Amino acid sequence: MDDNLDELLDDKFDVLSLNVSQSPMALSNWENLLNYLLEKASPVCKNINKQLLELIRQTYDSLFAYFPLLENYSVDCALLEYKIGNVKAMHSTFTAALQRHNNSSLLLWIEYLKLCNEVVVNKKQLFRKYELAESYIGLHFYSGEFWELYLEQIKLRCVGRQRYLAVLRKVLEIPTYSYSKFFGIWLRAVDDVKDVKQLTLMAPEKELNRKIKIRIRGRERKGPQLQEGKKALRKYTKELYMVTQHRVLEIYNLFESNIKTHYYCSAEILIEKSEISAWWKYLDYCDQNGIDQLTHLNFQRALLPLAHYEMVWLKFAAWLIQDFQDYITAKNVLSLGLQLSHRKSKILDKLCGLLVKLGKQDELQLLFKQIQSAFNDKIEETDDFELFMDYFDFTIFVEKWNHRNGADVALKVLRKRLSYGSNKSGQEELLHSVCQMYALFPRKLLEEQIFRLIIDENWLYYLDSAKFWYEYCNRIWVDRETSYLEKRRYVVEHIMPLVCKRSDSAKKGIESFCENYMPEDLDAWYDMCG
Amino acid sequence: MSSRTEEECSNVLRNLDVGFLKDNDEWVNIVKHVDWEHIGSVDALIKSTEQLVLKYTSPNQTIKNSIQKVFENALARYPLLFGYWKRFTAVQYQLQGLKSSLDVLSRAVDAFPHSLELWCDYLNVLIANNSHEVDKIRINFQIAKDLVGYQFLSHVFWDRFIEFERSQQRLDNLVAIYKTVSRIPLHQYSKYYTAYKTFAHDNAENNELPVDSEEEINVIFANTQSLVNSVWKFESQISQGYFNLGPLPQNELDNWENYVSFAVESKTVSPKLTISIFERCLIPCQYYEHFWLRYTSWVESLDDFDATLEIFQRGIGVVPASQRKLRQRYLVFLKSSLRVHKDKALDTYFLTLAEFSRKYPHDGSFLMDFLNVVKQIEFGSSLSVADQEILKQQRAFAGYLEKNVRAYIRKSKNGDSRLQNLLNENTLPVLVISLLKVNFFNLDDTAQTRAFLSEFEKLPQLKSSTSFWLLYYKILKNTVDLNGLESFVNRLGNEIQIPVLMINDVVSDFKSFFMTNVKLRDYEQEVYDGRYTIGIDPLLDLDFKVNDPLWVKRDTSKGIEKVKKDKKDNGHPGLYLEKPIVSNSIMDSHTKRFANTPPSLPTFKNLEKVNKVAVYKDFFNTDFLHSG
Repeated sequence: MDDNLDELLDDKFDVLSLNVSQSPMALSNWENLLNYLLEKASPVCKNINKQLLELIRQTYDSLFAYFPLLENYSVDCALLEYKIGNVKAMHSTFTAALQRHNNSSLLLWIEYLKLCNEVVVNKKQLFRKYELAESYIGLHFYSGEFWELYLEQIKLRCVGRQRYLAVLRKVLEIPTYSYSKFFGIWLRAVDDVKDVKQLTLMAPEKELNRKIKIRIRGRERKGPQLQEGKKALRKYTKELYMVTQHRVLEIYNLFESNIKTHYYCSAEILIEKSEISAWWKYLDYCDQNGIDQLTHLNFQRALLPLAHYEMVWLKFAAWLIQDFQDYITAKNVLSLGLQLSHRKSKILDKLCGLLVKLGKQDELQLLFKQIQSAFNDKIEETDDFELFMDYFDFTIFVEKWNHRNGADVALKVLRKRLSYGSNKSGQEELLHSVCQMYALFPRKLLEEQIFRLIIDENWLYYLDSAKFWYEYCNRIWVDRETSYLEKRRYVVEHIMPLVCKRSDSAKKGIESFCENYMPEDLDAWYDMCG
Repeated sequence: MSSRTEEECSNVLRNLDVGFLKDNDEWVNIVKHVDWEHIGSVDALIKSTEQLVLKYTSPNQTIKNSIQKVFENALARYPLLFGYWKRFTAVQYQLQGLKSSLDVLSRAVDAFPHSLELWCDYLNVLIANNSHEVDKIRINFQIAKDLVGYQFLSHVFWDRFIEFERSQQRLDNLVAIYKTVSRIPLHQYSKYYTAYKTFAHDNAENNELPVDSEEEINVIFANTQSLVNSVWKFESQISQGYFNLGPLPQNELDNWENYVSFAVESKTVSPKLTISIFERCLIPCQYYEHFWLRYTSWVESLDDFDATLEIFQRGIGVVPASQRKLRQRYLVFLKSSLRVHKDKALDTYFLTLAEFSRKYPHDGSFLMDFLNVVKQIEFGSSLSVADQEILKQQRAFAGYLEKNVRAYIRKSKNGDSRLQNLLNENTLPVLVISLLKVNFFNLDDTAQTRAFLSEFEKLPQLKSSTSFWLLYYKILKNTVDLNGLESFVNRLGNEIQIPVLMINDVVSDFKSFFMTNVKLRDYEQEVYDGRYTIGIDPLLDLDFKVNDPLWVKRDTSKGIEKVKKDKKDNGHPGLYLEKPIVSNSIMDSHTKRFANTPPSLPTFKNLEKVNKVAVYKDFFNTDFLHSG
């Protein structure tokens, strides 16, 4: 009978769990809690307290909800299951962890496969896992360890050499950090060939015949042919070595040597600029140099250290959109990016665009609701102008979706935002943007609801600004519904008198507008100003 | 060597015989290689020319002309180097005699009217040699009085003036002099206090003379004394009151700055004294735009159009072309004067615009100013006149603009010559933009505007004109022409070459415009119809164009070709490398494929390049430096 959990845990647990619930984004709180629980559970064995085990599992789950890219903790969690003999849970923990990394985590795969070597008896089942891993992380620059594991298992579990040599032959072409080791193995394999027939395991018979002039099924003497064949194979190997080495050195010198962090770091740890720029160039290089599979893998690799930097999410999404028009994956990438990145406005903008494009209005509405609630339903109070502007544009766009009267809602938000005057940035840009929303805000509506409102409320931030008056005159001027003479008269008779007694900077707006569009009224303006 | 220097050099050496040139090869060398920007070089030229005068006691006319030319060249460039005027006078006296030397002095005070030394020399020579020309001498004293009489150390001049009038026994003039000098803060003001008191005492009984009483004299001098005390703290700091090449020390500049501030702000300083202080300041600080700006703004406040105009023109004549503020202020002054002094200012304004336009050929603002004034004056249409009349004038203006655009393009003579003088390849867009604006906004003629747009966009002068393309974009937005806008954005960076920052702005502005002016269901329909599979999707693709103007939407079917093209460049622009590769690579094939047959033997491309050094392509040289 297990002890009661309350008896097992002391007051420290209350403090640690409270810390976690109060600041769930602080990784150290989670670490402290987990260490505490694992200490209580140690030594980990099959007899672990069931309640405590459940508590640890739930803690891990919650941790991964906040920090989905923590590879080491995923491994720890799976090992815990393994240690208590719960192999099924170990598999599902690894599978879930791999899914969080789009199956592109080298570390997870290696740790998983190491355990699989122990617990999976069925050869086919095991190799299916290796094959799956190969397709995801086979081209990783540090995939040498994986290939070694793979080759070792083939050696152990397969009778013939064919599969072993085919895999080894492929590895020779992959630019990995430990490339030379595999060439060594291959050359030894060549040396070990004792019969010309064995050469067919290393190259197709037809090619041996055509390129090296070796007739496997002929009646010629085999001894000299074997020597000739091995010599030719060594020559090919040497040439292949030169090519692979060239590529490895290129990748290593230009990029990999500058990348020091290969794991997810918590939000407060900053990554060096040189490392970020190395990733940027590396990803460009991958994009332009070749294999999409490797580019995808490297994007996934870059996500780990750079998860809090918007650029990597945006670049990844841009690559998916531009090269493959893969909007769904791009959307998923951006969704995770929105959760992890420090700066969110650009990601949000792109994500909203994708959701509109994909017709996912429910998700978009949900996203808006989340943003709204993140800002306590007062998004107009945000200091991030870009974020506000994107929200504003998309709200207008989506309101129209619902066939509702978007103008009223937008006007309300707009008035509120403008009322902050100098306390918020980008007010002039906002006004300019609104002035060109011809379809949504006809001239009359905009004048009544915005320009006249500002004048009546005497918001001096705008009334003393040249840009405000210029914008006002400009909005009148570009109105296609009114004739030239009406517009001119309106500016002279209704706007100029409002400005002529104001500050010099306000007057500059009118003067500048007149110089641009109606110089003939400059005299009237100067007369008005006295 | 500039063409001006070359011309000056050939003028000096013209007609000199070979023997002379050979004998004086050192002088010839100095003449040929003089560096006008360095006072040492100019000084060496003057010194060696003076040596010639000593060497040849009676030179022929050609040599005399050459010597004269050297001085004239130097003084034409730097009329404020008063020492050279003096040396030129001495040389001229030796070569040509008294009359010529007097002419030189007369020219000197014209060229450098605020030089106390030159005026004193000139007046001394006049009195010594032309003493019978009393009126001429007196007039010159009067002129000099306003020009140099207010300078702190001008007692030398006043002494000479008093002496002259005393010798002429003109007591009335002496009274006037004492009345003036007693109010000027001079270094030796007390001398005149005693002299004036003595003079007043001696002539106390002469009722016809308006002499001040002793008490009045005391009060006047008490005020002057206080003024002297005020200016002394500035005057005592002046260590270089003369003109020289090269920058002035910062403490001197600060002192002048404080001095002119004091003169402008103090109520005890008369306008004449302020002018004198400014003029003295502008001798050492001639090339400093800042002091000209202060001077002109002070004179402008006096509301004297002619005086202000004169000072502006003097300033613009000497301030280096790279400094634009004074010139801009001059244009503003002329423009604002058009309302009150239209007759006087209009021609000057147009001439100045033409001159500046030649000097700054990349600046279109002069043309814009010209068009605005022409529209106001020659195509004026006040709102008080009948509507038909206003529209008629607008049409006439549009016609005027079109005629001039075409005249420029066809290089014909039937345009307005005033306007054609302002036009060049860089300013043509300003004229075209005005034409488009009038047609689109004033005449409401969209069809004509579009016709002009499609006609003029082909002009090479407009290809990279930011303002033209921004107006183009504005017109497209104003007419909510989405097809046009999408095509416009597509052409940005490729056909439309405007700065990247502008492209970025247009791109983000278009996105916002699209979202707020397009109906969502229309967008969805277009997505459904596949429009954005090939064309730019305003919601998703526009960001890719930001900071990458050459970006074009990748046609995924042609993607491989692009990859191949870019492969040579390792993210290091300029470094191109034919890399060794496995041409039948199995790297991206799954090993399952080789379950029955082993992979092929590798084949290679560029294997010989393994050890080759990368080829560096110098784009800076090929594309930029030698692009012309």
